[in-house]
Amino acid sequence: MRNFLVQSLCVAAAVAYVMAADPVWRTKPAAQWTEEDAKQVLATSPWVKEVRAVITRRLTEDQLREAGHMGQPRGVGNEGVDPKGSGPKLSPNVFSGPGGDDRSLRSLPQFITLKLRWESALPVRLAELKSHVLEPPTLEGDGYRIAVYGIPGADFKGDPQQLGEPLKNLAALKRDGKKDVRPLRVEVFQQEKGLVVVYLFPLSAEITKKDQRIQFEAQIGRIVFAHNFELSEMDFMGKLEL
Amino acid sequence: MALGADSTFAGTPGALRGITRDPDGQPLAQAQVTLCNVADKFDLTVVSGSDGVFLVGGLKPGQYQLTAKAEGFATASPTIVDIAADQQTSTVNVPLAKSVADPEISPAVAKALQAMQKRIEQLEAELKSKNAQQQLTATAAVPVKPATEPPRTLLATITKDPGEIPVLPGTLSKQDEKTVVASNAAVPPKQETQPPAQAPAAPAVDTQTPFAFGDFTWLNGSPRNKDVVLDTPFFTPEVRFDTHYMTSFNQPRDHTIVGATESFRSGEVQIEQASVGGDFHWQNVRGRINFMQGLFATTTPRNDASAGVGNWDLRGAYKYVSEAYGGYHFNVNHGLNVDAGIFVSYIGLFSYYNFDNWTYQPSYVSSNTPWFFNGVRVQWFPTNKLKIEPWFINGWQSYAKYNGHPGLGGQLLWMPKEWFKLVANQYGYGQDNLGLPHTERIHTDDSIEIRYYNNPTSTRLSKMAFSLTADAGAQYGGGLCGTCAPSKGKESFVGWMLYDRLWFHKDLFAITFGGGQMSNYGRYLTLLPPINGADAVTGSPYFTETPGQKAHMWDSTVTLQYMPRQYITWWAEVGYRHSDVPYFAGRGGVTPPGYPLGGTNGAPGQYACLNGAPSGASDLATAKVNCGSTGVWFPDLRRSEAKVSVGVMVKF
Repeated sequence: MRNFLVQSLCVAAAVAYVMAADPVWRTKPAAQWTEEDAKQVLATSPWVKEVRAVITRRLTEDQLREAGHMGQPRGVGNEGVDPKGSGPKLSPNVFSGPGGDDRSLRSLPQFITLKLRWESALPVRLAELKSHVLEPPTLEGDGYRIAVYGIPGADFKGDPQQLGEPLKNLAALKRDGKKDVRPLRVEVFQQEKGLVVVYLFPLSAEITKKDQRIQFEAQIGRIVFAHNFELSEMDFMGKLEL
Repeated sequence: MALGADSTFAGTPGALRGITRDPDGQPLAQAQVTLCNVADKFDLTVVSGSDGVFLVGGLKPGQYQLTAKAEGFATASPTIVDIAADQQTSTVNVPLAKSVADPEISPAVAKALQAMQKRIEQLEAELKSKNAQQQLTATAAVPVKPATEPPRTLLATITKDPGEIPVLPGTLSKQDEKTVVASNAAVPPKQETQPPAQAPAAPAVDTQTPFAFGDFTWLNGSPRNKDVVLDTPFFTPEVRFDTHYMTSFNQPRDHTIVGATESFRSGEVQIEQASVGGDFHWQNVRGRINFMQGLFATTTPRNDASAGVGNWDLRGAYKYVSEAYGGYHFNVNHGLNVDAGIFVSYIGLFSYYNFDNWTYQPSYVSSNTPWFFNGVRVQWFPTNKLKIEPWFINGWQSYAKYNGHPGLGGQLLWMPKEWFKLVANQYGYGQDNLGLPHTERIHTDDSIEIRYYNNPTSTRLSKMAFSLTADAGAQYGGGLCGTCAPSKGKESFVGWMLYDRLWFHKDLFAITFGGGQMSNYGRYLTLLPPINGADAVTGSPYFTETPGQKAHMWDSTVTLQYMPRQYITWWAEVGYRHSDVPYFAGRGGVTPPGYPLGGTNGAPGQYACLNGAPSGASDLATAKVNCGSTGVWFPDLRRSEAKVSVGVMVKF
């Protein structure tokens, strides 16, 4: 009896492992995806990755001036990125203090988690449909579309394309031995929980499985990140999907 | 109206004939009817004719799910129809109900649903294009291209649930449909392996803003603040206070210290600088002003002889201003600025503002070289590690232009690593001498700074760094030369300074050792001692600056700084300076006795008599005659000076 129980548990564990090891986008026809499946695609598939981005330190006016600027930079990724209460605290005691440690939280790099999603990838689009995700609005034009979710900031009004214009030269798709690919267009959409930045890269980039790995690198104001996507994982219905 | 559906199965195909009707039972034209084979999921879509009739032929016998929709009507519920073999035609009525507007659906939701519908259409087109593509080529070497916009004329099948995966309309070939279904359902589960190790992504630093990749607050000549207390989108203020107590061991009775741009009074508490100002910035337009009170307001202008050209009291105009300029920032490369006005200069490495420096009294190479420029500068940042900054200026540390030529120069600043700085300043073309209209000046000033140890969390030694500066220059033309013998009017300058700094206890304390040397033939960069109130315009008969005259000097300092907070520095310094000619104020001082006019007699260009009165002559023989039995007064100039200083500096 005990052996039977152990064997049953082993079998159950093996089944669970196999089930867990077989993601829905590989094993289940898209037509049969449930909403839960779709959510899984949008949460853990190879086209969707959470990245640890850095909010670079807030520069002082002296540092900005030395860098040829004056005033804190404005715009997406600059305004609203510092946590409340992270500014400097002045102490009336000028005879003692922590020396070099006398600095605010925002004068140091902070970390933030962002979500990257290949919006142009078919499984992502199917999953978005299935899970009734309507955002972000689709960029017009053809290309590889990567959306970055979770950028802090509020009250960014105006033309999404104008908001994204300063970010155009600060992003690239990188591959070994090939020229970096810059986005054709960047658009920024205000959402309830923050901003979504959507990059549209040209089809002429011609990404193939032979590239093996592609790095998406971007700077959004003071937010900087880079992430490697393994192309071998991004297979859907027998094809590389981006 | 009929559509062939499948010719690949064995046996004779069947057909379906039907009519779409509205709720009143009238034939409904232009309704889309979709048939889906229950067994193999093949789909077909047809459109009913003007009489509501549709006919589909060539159907594989079996069960089909039928749905229909039309504009303004609700989608008909799926119906199962049986298709018989042997050319038999099944018939069916397809009633559609009137679409009832959902009172709960807001315009926003309706808009969203429209967008969803659009996306469904797009996805269908993508599936179609994907499969066509899939049949043509092998996948691995083919670039992956996301689907293009679907043709607007394509009829799409709407599904009941907008989240449901849309199926293909009958406009595809059967082979296409097979491929889609097969590839969607029959992809063998891949053997899940451990995901390949992620290659480390590039370090996440700001690579756009110049010099933002590192923390350069350790540099000599840069403020160490890590924060700015207050900034607004339009204005960022700056406030500085610099007060010290300084005493010379020569104990000059007139309390005057000479030969430096940082040390002026002995045995007194003095405010060296009190500045209020800041940066104005809005949409790439920029301006900076920093006012200046305290000793700097008089000690800086006195070293500029250009104010002796023409009128309008330029010293008075600028004495309370250390920086004032406006300009524009262009978004070119990593930045391009064009600014015009008066700027502080970084020739000589040290900052004009003592708070930013490792020591209070820098060596001659810094102290004797410009603290400001008046003109136009362009700052170009081709990369985030390099600045190229040409200058078009009135002259060498001058409010005005001395003669016919403006000054031309520039700075190249390269900081490729957080621990390394190289700065090179070059100057030329300017004719920077009163009364010498054909003499030009050239100068090079180059520095490196290296932080060779960094352990910022250590409670013992937390940092070590050094700075090395080397200068060389000459004047030539108008009978002067830079390389000839002193007797033939040599005008040259060579000098260096070296400082080493150690920080302790998480940068709470720092101690700096250093010093330097200079050799200045012609003394054109040697600060004129303010004997009897002399300045760069008046000159002094007691310390002449004529071609070929030598001035070799060296100095050293030890500076201790205590920096409990980022906005305040308490400091103490001992220094020793030496000159090969009498230069530093001794016990007798540099002020004639007994004269009430601010300690001077108002005629600094003349010899003074022992009673303090002007002799009326700038040559000694005549002065002796004029002073008669009173005799000629001489300042007490020594070859060396030791001094000790303490002070506090604040910078917000």
